[in-house]
Amino acid sequence: MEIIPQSFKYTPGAFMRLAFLLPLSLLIMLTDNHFKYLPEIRQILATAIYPLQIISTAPVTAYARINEIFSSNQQLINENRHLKRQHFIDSAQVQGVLALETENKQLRKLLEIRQQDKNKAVMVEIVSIPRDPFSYKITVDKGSQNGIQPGQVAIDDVGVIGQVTRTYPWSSEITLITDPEHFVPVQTIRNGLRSVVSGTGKDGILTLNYLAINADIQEGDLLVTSGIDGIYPPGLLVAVVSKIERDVAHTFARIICAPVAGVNLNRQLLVLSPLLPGLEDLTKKIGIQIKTKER
Amino acid sequence: MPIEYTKQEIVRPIKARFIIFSLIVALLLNQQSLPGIMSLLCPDFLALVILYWNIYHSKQFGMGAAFSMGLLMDVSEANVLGQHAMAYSVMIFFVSTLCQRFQMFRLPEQIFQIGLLLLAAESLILLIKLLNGAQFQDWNFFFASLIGALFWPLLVFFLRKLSSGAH
Repeated sequence: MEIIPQSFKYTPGAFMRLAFLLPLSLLIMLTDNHFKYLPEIRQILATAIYPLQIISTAPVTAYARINEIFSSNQQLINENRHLKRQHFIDSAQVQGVLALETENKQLRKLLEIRQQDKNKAVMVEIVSIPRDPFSYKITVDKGSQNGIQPGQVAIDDVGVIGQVTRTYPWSSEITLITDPEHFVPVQTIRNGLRSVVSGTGKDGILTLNYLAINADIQEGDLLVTSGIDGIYPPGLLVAVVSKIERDVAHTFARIICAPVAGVNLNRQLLVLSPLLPGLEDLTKKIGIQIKTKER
Repeated sequence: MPIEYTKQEIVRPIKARFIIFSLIVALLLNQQSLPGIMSLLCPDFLALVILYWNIYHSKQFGMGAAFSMGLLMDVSEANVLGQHAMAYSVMIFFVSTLCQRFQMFRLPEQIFQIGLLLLAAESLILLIKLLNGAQFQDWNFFFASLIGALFWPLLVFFLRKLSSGAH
């Protein structure tokens, strides 16, 4: 039997390989971008990479642990004192809220308006923020196995972070509100003016679109979700108006806002329960699933 | 006249386990999220490791492997699938055609060439993103490949030291 040495075996040349792989990658890109036929492949790859993402958070966790070990008694006492004070203030506020809630419930019953249900929330931790400056998506450590679905809203302790756009078994992707293709319906706290805020693709800058130049809006106005889309629950803080340009040459004012929440601030986020209860009933009745916008 | 073998022919194969391990470490390094400007300057370690294996052990690590690592990278960055895959394949193509003489070069020249290769990959990714509707942000984007090139001697030193025992 003739044995061919490894070196003399035929292997396709670099050009042939490229001629095969280049169209293949183009095909994959087009399919992923325009037809969304690749969720299974993505699921498999994401599951494969999940342990790596968990390991990659290890340095940060280790740093926090070491900090804990070496933090002095005095620091802990101070922190404890601060937290106790905060807890006291918070519980006082919660008492007020509880009273208001029951009052609100009764009033709603009197007026026969649909009851607003409370949001259930899942605590998640950020496992990866891409180094790529063009990516406005983060990965968190809980997925469909923990009951997270696309369309759910993620917030931190101050305001809205973004929306779950893709879920894997143990992790999910959150698209940030700074993504240029992400829109959040908002209203101002001061006068209830409704509009839609969208990302610009630049870190920490949002724009308020389609408000006439004579619209009653001021710098420093706080924007909260209006809840009219049925995805974002009403009343969550989104952004603060930082700059307004009223140029008479344009129909609309150019309004720049700064998001109040940020993924750089803390690693823990809350993912709120999917849709407003009324909408959920509606979809059940009609028998269709509301498809959330997926990028 | 005796036949002169090039160095390439007598390279003993590296254990696949070791290659996989180095790729995993590179992926881990790429996952680290650094604050602010640092994240822009952080080089693509995976691209560097892929370049190393393809330059010194091209029989074991070819374009197909680079392609699949690119897919993994896209998923980990939650990007459109295929853009890193394409960039890495093109990078490996340049290595195999333009840089067959690569091992002959002295270190500063190698660094320069690695910089160009990384720049080609980054630019291709940037181009794909711009075609996809992203907005161009910052020229800092290109510094990452420069810094990546400066990491090259360190990487060669480490991988050679570690792989000398891993045949």
